[in-house]
Amino acid sequence: MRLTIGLVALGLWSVCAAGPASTQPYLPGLDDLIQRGELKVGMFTYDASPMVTTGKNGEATGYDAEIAATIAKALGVKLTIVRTEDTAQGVIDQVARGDVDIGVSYLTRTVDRAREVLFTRPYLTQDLMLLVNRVHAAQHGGKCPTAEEFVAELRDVPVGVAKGSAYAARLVAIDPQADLTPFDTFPEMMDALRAGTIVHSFQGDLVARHYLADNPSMRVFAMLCDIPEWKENIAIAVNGNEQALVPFLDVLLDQIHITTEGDTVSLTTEPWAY
Amino acid sequence: MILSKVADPKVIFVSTIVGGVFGWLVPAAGLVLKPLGELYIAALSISIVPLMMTALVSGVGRMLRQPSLRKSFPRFAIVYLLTLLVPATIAIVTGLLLEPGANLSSDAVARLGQQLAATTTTHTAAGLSDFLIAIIPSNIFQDLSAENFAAIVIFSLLLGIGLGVAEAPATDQTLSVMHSLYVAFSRIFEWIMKGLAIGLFCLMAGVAATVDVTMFESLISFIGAFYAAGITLFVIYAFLLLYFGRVGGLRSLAEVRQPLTVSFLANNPFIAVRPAIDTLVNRFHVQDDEADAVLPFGIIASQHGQIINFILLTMFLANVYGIQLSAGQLATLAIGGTIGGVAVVGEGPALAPALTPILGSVGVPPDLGAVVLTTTEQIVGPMVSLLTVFSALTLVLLGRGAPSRQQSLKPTEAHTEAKP
Repeated sequence: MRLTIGLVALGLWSVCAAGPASTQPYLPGLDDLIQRGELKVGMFTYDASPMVTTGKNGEATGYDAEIAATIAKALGVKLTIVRTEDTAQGVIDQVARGDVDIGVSYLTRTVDRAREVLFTRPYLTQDLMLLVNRVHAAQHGGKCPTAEEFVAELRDVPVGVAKGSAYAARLVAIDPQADLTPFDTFPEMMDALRAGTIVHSFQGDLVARHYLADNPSMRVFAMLCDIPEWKENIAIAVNGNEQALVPFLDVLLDQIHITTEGDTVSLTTEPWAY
Repeated sequence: MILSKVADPKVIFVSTIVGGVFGWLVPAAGLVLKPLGELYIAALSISIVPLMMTALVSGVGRMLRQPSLRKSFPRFAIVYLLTLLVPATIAIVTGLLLEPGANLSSDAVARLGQQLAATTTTHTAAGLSDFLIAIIPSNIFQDLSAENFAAIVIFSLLLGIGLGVAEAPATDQTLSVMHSLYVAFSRIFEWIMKGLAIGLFCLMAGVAATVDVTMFESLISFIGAFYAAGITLFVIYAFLLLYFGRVGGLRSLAEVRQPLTVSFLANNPFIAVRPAIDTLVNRFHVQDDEADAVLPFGIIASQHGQIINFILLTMFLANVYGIQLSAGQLATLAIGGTIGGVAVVGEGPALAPALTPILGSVGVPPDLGAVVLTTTEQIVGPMVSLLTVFSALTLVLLGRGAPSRQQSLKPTEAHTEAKP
């Protein structure tokens, strides 16, 4: 199925076209950031299209980059994207250390991570997905595994996950002896799935569908299996010292929606609300 | 005069080719003509089901009422079972030699993936019990309206056997009525056949206008292997025809030209039932009851082209997925492909439920099977139809009894009467 990315960009710039009202006082905490004049945003180095991608000149692109730009614009400060960490957990640690103010990097909101950083409300809620090697599936009943079957097979069936991701942490929490293989990039994981080195890859709906739409040949070798019982919330991680940012970002995220329908991913805003 | 000209196989062949070229060059016109072609095929179907039914009932019934013909049944059964070994063997050998699907280009795989993404239906495997339930004519009226050919054939066989062994006073008259109906339906069929050249011109123009050539490119190794195996089987049939045809050398081949051409060009073996029976009776001097009884059965239950299609498609997909089939799996495939393909009903994606258990038996993912069946139907289907008709003709010729001199020289009254 062809992928269509519907970008309704009306809002992203117009949302904050006027910038912050200079005559109004700011909340304590926000004031310091405004005075500093710079918002440092952490993003991981690998691509998780369509959320985190890299442009032709090496610049950060994708929906998360657009959300980060919107936030900086709303605060009236300069945006600096820091891409030095190669995993999602690395970005969380980066935010926790205060190397960056916030992390906008397709970050899953988990209880473990909430011990390190603050989280905004989710700007995306999605199902978790398995991509299953079709040959293995054909030789084992030909059906998508249920959540229970997937968990029961974790020790016997090799599963690919993004390195340092919430997916890896979650599966280890379920079964410490799970046969997990971490991958630096999603394409590497797909190559392993196609070759049969791993039988399942475990990831969010958005990235899985987007990859299949961009790489239709992978559909021949991999079967997309939804685990409807398992969902994840994607949110912005905020440094603990920037508490005032969280309610501000929550209000801003009220107007930003990422929706999926089949293979169509859309980023929309409600500019009238501003 | 003009009507007899347009029914000539050469005219039919040329008009089909011209229709294809026309549809390819002027797709918009081809799309306009396509419904007319489909309308013509629908018109041809008017008498196919009653024709098959009455041919089987009167043929089987009349065979059983003649002691000399009754002896033919075991011979036909043996020939039928033995000939089933041929297509599976050819398909396996061709698949091993040509390795269709191995080294498929990344573009070709991507196109298959796109097609797979567009296929939203899930094909559930049809097991043996499902197949048996489907072919048992539990409600013949429902089966007739649904054109469930396998169930219709079984019902007709049973009715023919029942009439053949019944001792009721009016049995012979009933069989005569059946035979009269058969002659009447044959007449209707022949009237409509007069327009075959025009109908196929329209149909082929529509097919050429809508065909996806890029998908054929992706599947060229499968299509090539299928045609290689199909032509091999055709040559074997041709030799059998030369030997068992009893009409002298290459003339045998010329005699079967019309039913084979019609089935190939119309992509429908059932349309060739009447021309094939006529050919057997009038050209090869087969006894009309034998031809009436065995040929329709062969068209349904001797689909050798479909066996080749299923086996090679499985080997193609195995190569795409890098699955090495062991000798045991090849034997399983030969048996499964023969059982699954020999009497399957439908075309394109409708064949998927029959293919799925065959793929499953050797561990090949099934979803792409439906995609390949759908995509290749227009190009593989005609050869499947031709091989089905040729295998049915061969079955009759191999299994028939020795004709008497009188029978061999003079066609029966019914077939003479039914001749155009």
